[in-house]
Amino acid sequence: MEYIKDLESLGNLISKFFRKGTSTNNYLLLDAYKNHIGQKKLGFVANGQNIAFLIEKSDFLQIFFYLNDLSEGLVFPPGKPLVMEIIYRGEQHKPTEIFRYWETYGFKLHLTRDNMFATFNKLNVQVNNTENIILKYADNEKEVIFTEKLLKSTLDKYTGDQLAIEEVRQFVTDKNVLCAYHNDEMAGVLQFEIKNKVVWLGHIAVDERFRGKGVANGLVEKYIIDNNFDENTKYQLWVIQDNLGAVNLYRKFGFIYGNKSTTSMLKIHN
Amino acid sequence: MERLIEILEGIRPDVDFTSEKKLIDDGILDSFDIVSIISELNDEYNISIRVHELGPENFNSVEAIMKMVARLSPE
Repeated sequence: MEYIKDLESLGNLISKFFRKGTSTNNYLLLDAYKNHIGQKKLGFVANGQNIAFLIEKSDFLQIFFYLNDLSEGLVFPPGKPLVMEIIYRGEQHKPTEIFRYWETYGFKLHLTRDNMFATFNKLNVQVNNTENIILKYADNEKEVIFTEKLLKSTLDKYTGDQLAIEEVRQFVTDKNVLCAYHNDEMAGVLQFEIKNKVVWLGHIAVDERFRGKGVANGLVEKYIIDNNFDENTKYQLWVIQDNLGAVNLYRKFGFIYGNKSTTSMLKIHN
Repeated sequence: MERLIEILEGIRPDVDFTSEKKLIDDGILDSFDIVSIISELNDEYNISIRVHELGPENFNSVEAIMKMVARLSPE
């Protein structure tokens, strides 16, 4: 793998491989490129008409590809597992040919997530004071540690966008982490973030001992109500398609499918 | 400009591109939309949108996108 040293050389590579009809899963923008190049974490492998950019994560390499010839493969550096997310606009645009291409090279389909969204005026929020559940903003180290541990144990290792403890601490400082207590025991957390005026539900997790008790419902409700700046406030999230409990919860609140899905593919033993 | 709006509406039919002036700042378009737009613009106008053009200022409005296209178009 060769590393990208600057934006100029990155631009030259993308120009060379990004043409009419190119299949790509690359949705990185300028700030993300600058960040990855600055940290010396952006590399690439190329072969003939195809190229893949690789971002070094702590436990795996994340792949962003540009494919022009599906009869040519790419050779990846050995060692770390390989992970990619392929985003598409709804079921009718599912890139099955691209899935098959990567399956030929040992990748396996992993998880599909759907984008859901709503504006405040379309949401059904009724404040239900659930007995035994107390909701609050995380504000201490005990809650930081609980949040980090619960997210780590609940979210997918490769595609769950897990948070390091420093990131959790920052979100807590920014008042972006909600905690739920059930009978004085920490039961669940929800992390959100406001980006470009969209209130993103980043992560939500409920300790398995407290599932089915209204904890997630309470957390989502508070996330919606507390971030209601006006009737048109936008809310968005990604949910695992097969997690019907979560999908139904969001539907109940009034979230609808945003016509975007992403399917991850993995190659663990590379 | 009309053709550009047609292209943009093909990607995001739910957005009123003639009135929105903060497409990125207001979270109307995301990075996936931008990459889709780039792909269409490259083909339609025979331009190559470079990495350093991928900032929000070039995608906040139809006018900004048009300006970028004009700047990158062959003389």
